[in-house]
Amino acid sequence: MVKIKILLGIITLLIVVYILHFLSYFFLADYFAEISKSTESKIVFGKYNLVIGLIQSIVIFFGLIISFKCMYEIIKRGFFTKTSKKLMYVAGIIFLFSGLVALSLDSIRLFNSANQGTLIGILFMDFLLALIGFIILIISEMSCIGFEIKSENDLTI
Amino acid sequence: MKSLSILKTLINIYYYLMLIAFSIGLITAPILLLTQKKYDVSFLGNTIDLTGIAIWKSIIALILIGGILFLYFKSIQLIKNSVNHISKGAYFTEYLAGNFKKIGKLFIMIGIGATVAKMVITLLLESQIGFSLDSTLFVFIILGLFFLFLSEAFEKASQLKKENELTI
Repeated sequence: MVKIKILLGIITLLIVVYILHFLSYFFLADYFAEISKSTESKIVFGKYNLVIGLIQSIVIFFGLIISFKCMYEIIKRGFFTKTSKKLMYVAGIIFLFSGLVALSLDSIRLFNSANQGTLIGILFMDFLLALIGFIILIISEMSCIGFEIKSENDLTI
Repeated sequence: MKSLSILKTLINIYYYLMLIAFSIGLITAPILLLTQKKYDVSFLGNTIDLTGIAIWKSIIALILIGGILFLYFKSIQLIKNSVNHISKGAYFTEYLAGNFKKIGKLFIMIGIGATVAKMVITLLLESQIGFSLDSTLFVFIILGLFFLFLSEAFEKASQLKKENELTI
């Protein structure tokens, strides 16, 4: 349980970082718009990069919130419960979705960019994020079987 | 589980793509090192330009990068083996719990190792000491802790399963 508590701490820290990140978008909107304008002709997706980045951050932020809820539930009631299974399933879907979206966007960037070496490395990381999302989905299905084993065990005198 | 077979296929694709990329890197790095041509090394989402620096510095940088990538490769191999094991219908076993523990430890080592490696490489290339907290450290430490936690949960489940099987 110590590991999950450390994990909860890191997730909380990341949620705070993301909130600060969103606040910076709000307070420094002009600054970001200026940077976006100066670089839009050089990069793939041009002026839409700012919006794409923001949407990706929002999706990951929701994934982190669900992960936080899931870990809190696990600490409170244990791993093999129906609620943690549901929350893990949702977190898995979010990470799988954001991994696949990032993979698609970076693949388009790869074919239109000169800096292909960096993008190949990033593609591997995007693929890993999607795979981890998929693994969480499978584990959420497995935790259902674990829940049945635990219920049987609890019923045994 | 139909999704399990999809995951198995995806992990196999990922593993063999990595194997190809790793092999190409192993073959091309010494050639580029000796010919002193322009070359960049892609390292967990970052690019390191090793053009025009002293050979001994390039060798140290390549050993560090290669070591971290080897750990990464090893952890993906363990994930692949675990998924293959799950696909056989063996869910809560000590083998799986042990594998998750190893993957967790490897991911934490990659997170910390990559941060230290970046520090050393910055020192070698730019002659300045710098420490940066980036997504690599967080992502791998989160994944590492998650897998370590999973190993504990699976170990507990395997004990419960054994107890259940022993009950008349």
